[in-house]
Amino acid sequence: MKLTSRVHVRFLDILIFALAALLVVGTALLVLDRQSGMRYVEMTGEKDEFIAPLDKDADYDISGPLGMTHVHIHDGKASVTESPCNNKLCVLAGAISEPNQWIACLPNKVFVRITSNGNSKDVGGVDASAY
Amino acid sequence: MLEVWMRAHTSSEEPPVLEAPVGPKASHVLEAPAGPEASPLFSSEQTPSIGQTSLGHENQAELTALLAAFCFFLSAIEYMLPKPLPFMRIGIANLPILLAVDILPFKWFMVLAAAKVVGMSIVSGTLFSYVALFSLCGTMIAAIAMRATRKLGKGAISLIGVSISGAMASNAIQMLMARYVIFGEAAWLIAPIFLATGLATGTLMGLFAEFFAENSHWYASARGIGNARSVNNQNNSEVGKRPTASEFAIEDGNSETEDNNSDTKAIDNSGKAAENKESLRKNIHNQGRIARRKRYEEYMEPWVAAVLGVVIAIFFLLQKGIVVKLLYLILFIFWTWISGKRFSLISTFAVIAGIVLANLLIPSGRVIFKIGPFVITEFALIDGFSKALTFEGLMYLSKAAIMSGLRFPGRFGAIIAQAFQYYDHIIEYRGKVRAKTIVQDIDDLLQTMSNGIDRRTQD
Repeated sequence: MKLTSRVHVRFLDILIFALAALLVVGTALLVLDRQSGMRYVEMTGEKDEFIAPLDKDADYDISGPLGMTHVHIHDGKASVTESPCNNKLCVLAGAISEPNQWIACLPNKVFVRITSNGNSKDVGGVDASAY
Repeated sequence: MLEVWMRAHTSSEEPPVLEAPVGPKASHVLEAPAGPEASPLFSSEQTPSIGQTSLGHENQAELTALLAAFCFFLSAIEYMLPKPLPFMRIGIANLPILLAVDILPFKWFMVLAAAKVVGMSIVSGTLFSYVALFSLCGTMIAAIAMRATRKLGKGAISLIGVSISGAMASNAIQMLMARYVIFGEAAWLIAPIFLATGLATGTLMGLFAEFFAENSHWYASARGIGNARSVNNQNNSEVGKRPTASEFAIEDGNSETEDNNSDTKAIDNSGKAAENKESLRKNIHNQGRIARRKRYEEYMEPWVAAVLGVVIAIFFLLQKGIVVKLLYLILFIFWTWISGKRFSLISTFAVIAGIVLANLLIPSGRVIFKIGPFVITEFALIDGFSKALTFEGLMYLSKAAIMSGLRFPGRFGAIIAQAFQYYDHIIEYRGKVRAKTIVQDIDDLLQTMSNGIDRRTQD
């Protein structure tokens, strides 16, 4: 039995192949973009350090010398909602969402900062002296 | 002892024949006693009269069951092929579904897709696990996509385009499920690779299916055309006759001489001897397991085990604590051991490690420690472990609770049972399926099976 080697590639085959290839490339670009733009909330307490993705709602309690500072992550923003300090400056600071924005509760020694995958140490970065 | 093996020519100038025994997952089915009483279905002398309508496939259910059996068979072959990542598959088990796009009416087409998923899940014992859920969603979406592409594209599309659309649809839905069920955000990282694999394998499967459809007489008959799509269907009389190895070699038109042929046979025999020795060793190694399996099958009814499995699965899925989940997993592994099913702790550890690592890629929770840029966080670690334990727990529970004797009630169950019978016949098939002549070989196999159906319906 001899085989015919004819395989008819038709117009729509090529179109579908192209669309699928486009989808692959598109997903790749999307993933790369998403990865480099992914933001995290870095929360540093007296003893422990926490990291959480900014796009996932969560609540964290960070312990300091005075007690627990409560960090609330919601809708891509992070804020301090409760703190055992006297001046409540950290609570009044409101919500942060941009890379390198930060909230500090000096009395309770809690520091909250937004970082980004690609550029956590660029212009406007906070250094140790700001703490 | 039944043995499935596939022979593959590596190249035309070097004719050694590779023989690979079916992997452990598939072979527990092969242990099922299926003696020579099955063989009347095969008759090497019978020559099908091409042009007769649909090879007696008045009964769509029979054809669906036959194609489903082929899905099981191909998935057993797929199991032996190496894969770069555990979740990457070539998807050759989808070939019968691809071919069925033009053969079966919509209802039976969907029944075939469902039968493929359920049957394969029984063979591999994954029916109650996420793997079956992934397989179900992927296959059903792919089936719908393929059918829709075929209908919309009419004459302007070949099986290549149909195959690509199916593969992409299947991989895309499985990607989404992986994101939400197992890997978390990190699933996006492998999305491009996963989709690109789908595109590549989809194209290859489409090309093969198109080529097969052009050349297969069985396919032509099943479509009820009566003539193969190929130009050279004058060779019809050859079909159905089991050609010997030398016939094949001569017809290949290659420079293989008679000497080369005898070489092939010699290597062939030594290969077989090696295989026998290997299987003997494996047999001894497995005797204990098979004894356990027999004992288990004596005391446990398949449907009791299945119902028990479902109930326990519900309890298991309600568990939140990681320690409790671990205890369940250990219990399930023990149950699987008692049932005499095959399992590999090494691959279990590998899968758990993979899932945990993927979840750690997106840090979340208290920082436990840092290794360079890689941060180990408490919540991500616990979450990863929890997902991995659920995944593997269901896997083992499913293995233990799904016995190969399990039968489903109703018409759908009957089709699956029928498909398993055909599957037994396929793995008993005495003809060879070789890479070089794969189209003719599979065509022969399909025709032989169809003739069996024909004869039985006539009796």
